[in-house]
Amino acid sequence: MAVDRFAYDNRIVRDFGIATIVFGVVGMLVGLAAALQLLLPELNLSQPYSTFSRIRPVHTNAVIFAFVGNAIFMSVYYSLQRLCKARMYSDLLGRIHFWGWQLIIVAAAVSLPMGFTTGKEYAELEWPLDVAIAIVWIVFGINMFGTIIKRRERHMYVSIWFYIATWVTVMVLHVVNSFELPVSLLKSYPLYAGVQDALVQWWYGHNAVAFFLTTPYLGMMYYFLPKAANRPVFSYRLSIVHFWALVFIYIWAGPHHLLYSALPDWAQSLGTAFSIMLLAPSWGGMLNGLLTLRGAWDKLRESVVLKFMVVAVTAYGMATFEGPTLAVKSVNALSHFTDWTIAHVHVGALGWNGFLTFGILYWLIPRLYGVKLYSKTLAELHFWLAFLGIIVYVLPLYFAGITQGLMWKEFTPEGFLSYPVFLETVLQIVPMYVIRTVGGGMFFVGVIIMVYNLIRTMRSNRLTTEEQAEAPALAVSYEARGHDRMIHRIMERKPLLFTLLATVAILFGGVVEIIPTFVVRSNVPTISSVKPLTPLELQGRDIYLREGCYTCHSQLVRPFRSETERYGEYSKAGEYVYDHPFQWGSKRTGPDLHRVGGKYPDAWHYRHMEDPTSMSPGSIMPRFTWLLTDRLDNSILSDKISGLRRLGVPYPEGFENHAASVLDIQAGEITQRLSDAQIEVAREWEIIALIAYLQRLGTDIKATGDK
Amino acid sequence: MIGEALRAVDGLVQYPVAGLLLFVVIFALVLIRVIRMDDAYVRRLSRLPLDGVDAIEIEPGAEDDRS
Repeated sequence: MAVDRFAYDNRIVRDFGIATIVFGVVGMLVGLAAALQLLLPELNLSQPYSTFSRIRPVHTNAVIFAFVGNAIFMSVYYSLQRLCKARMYSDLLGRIHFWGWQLIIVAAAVSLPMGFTTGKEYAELEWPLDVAIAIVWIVFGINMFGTIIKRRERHMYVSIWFYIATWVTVMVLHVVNSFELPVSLLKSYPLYAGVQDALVQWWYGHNAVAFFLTTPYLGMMYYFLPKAANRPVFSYRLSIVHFWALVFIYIWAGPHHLLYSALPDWAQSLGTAFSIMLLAPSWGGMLNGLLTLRGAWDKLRESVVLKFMVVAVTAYGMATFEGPTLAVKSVNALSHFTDWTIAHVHVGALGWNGFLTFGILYWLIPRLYGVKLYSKTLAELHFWLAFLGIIVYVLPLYFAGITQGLMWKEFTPEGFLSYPVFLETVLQIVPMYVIRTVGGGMFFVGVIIMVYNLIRTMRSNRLTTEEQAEAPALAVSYEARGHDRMIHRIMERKPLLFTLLATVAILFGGVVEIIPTFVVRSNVPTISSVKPLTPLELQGRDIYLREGCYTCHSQLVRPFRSETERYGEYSKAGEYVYDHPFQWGSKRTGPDLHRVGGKYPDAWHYRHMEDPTSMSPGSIMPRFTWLLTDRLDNSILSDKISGLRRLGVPYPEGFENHAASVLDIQAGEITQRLSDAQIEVAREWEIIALIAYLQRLGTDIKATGDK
Repeated sequence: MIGEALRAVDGLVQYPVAGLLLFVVIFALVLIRVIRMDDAYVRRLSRLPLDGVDAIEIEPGAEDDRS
C-alpha cells in the first residue's frame, strides 16, 4: 500500500498556545481585580471602564472564550492532525481562524468596559461581534471537518466525537441565543423577552458550560492523558456510552439555573431531573480518565504533567457531583444567588479547565520545541501553589454561600426576619471574600511561574514548525466485513453521519423544552396592568444594562416567605413580557430589585448612586458618579421604540415621533422632586433616567392590586 | 402556521416524558451494542493516540532533570 509523506503544522498549535497563555494571564488578572473591588470598591478609580460591574464580564469572557477557547483550538489542532494522520485541511483557514478569534477577543476587551453589552451572561457581546463569532466558528468547522474527511485513519477516535459535538452544539447555541434586532451599530435587543428569554439564555448558558468547557476538554483528556501516561484509555466501550448519554442529557439541564423562578414548573422539573441524570455520564468520563492510570499511579510521583491532569479530572468529578446536587430544588432554594454558585463554577473552571490546560501546556510546549521543560521544580511549585489556591478560593465561598443563604431565610421566634437589612448578610461574609482573593492570588502567581517556565523552554530551542510524518493512504473503496458492519463502527467511519446524529441528539432537549414555553400561552399568563416602559424608563433600563447592574442585583423574588417578607410580592411570569432582555440575574451581591419601585424616594437613589455608603454605611457597592454628570444620549431613542415595537412591545404607532417630549416631561417631574429634596440636577443627566427605571420596577402589579 | 399547528396539539407538555422514554430505550440499545463489541477492535481504537512514534522524542512522560 502506498505510504504518504506529509507534515503536521505545529506553528498554528504554538500560536494558539501562546494566545492561551497570554489571555489566561489577562483574564485571571481581571478576575483578581474584580475580587479586590469587592473588598475595596474605590479601586474602580471612579471610572466607569474599571468598575466591577463592567469588568466582571471582561473576566468571564476572557477566561472562557480567550483562555479556554484558545486552549481548545491549540489542543484540537494538535490532536486532530495526529488522530487523522493528516495535516489540517487548510493552513490559510487556520490563520484566519487564529487571527479572527484574537481580534474578537480584543474587541470584546474594548467594547465591554465601554458599556456595549447585551446584558446577557456569557453572551454579552453586541451583535457585530456575534456575527464575527459565527463566521470564525464556521471557518474553524470547515478546517476541522475538512481534516476529518481527508484523514488517513479510517476510524474516528473518541476525542474527535467530542470535538464534533462541540462544534455543532456551540454553533446552534450561539446562533439561536443571538437572535437579536439591531437598533444601531452597537446596540440591539434580543428577539425573546422575559420568561422565554430566560429559558433560551440558560439553555445557551448551561450548554456553553457543557459544550465549551466540558466536551472539548473531555476530548482533550481522551487524547493527552493517554499520551502523557503512555497508556490507552481504561475503557473505550465506556467512552462510547458516556459520550452519547452526555450529549443527549446535558442540553436538558439549562432550567436548573431558573429554579423557583417565574419559569413554568414543568420546565424547572425537567431541568432538575436531567441534571441528576447527568451525574452518570459525567462520572463515566471521570472514571475513564482516572482508571487509565490503574496500576501506574507511581508515575504521578515523578510527572508534574500527570499531577495536573489527575487533579483536573478529579475536579471534574467534584464539579459534576456538585452540579446535580445544586440542581435539587431544596438545595437550590438555599444556594441560588449566593457565593456557593461562584465556588461551584471555580472548582470546574480552575480545577478542570485550568489544570488540564496547564498539564497539556507542560506536555505540549517542550515537544513542539524538541526540548525538555526548563524547570521541573518550577512546574511542581506551580502545581502546589495552584492546588492550594483552589482550596483557599472555594472553601471560604462555601462558607459564605451557606452563611448568607441561611441568614436570608432566618426568622425570629416572633416571625420577623432576623436580618431584615440585606447589607448585614453581606458584611458577615466579607472576611470570606478576603480569603477568596488570597486563593485567587495564589492561583495567579502559579500561572506567572508557568509563563516564565514556558518562555525559558521556548527560548532554549527552535520550534519544529513542520513535523514530518508518514502514513498509508486510505483505500478509496472500503468493504465492511464482520464486526465492521456494526452500527457504531459504521458511524465512526462516516463523519457526516456521525455529525448528523450528534446534532439530532443535542437538538432534542432544546426543542422539547423551548417550543412549549413559546407556544403554550398558559406558560406565561398575561397581566393586564403590565405596560411597556416609558421612554425615560427605557433609557434608564439601558443604563442599567450598560453598567452591568445584573452582575450584583437580581430582579426575581422567589415564592419563599423569607423573600416576600424582605422584598414584596413574588415575581410573576407576566410581569416580564416586555423585558428585552430579561434581567433576573444570577447573583445577589446586593439585594433583589424587582420590587424596589416606590420603596425609596428619588433623592435616596440619587444619593445612593453618588455614594452608596451615604445611604447604606459599609456598603461594598462602587460609586457611579459619572451618572450624575454624563448627559443622556437620546439620539437613537426613536429607533429603540420602533425596534421594540417590531419585537412585540405594544408602543403605539408613531409614538417614537414624540417619545423625546414624553421623556422630557417625566424627567422634569423627577428633577422637581429632587429639587424639593435640595438636590439640584439638570434633567439631561443619566441619573434621572436610571431613577425613573428603578422607581418603575415591580409597580405594574400594584396598579390593580394583583396577587 | 407552525405555532397554530403546535397549539392544536393536546398535551404538548407531555412530550418531554416521551422524550425521556425514547432516551432510555436508545440508551439501552447503545449499551447492548457496546457490550457486544469485538475486543480486538476496541483495543485497537483505544490505542489510536499511541499509534506510531512521535517525531519529536524527548523521552515519553519525562519533564526535565534541570531542577
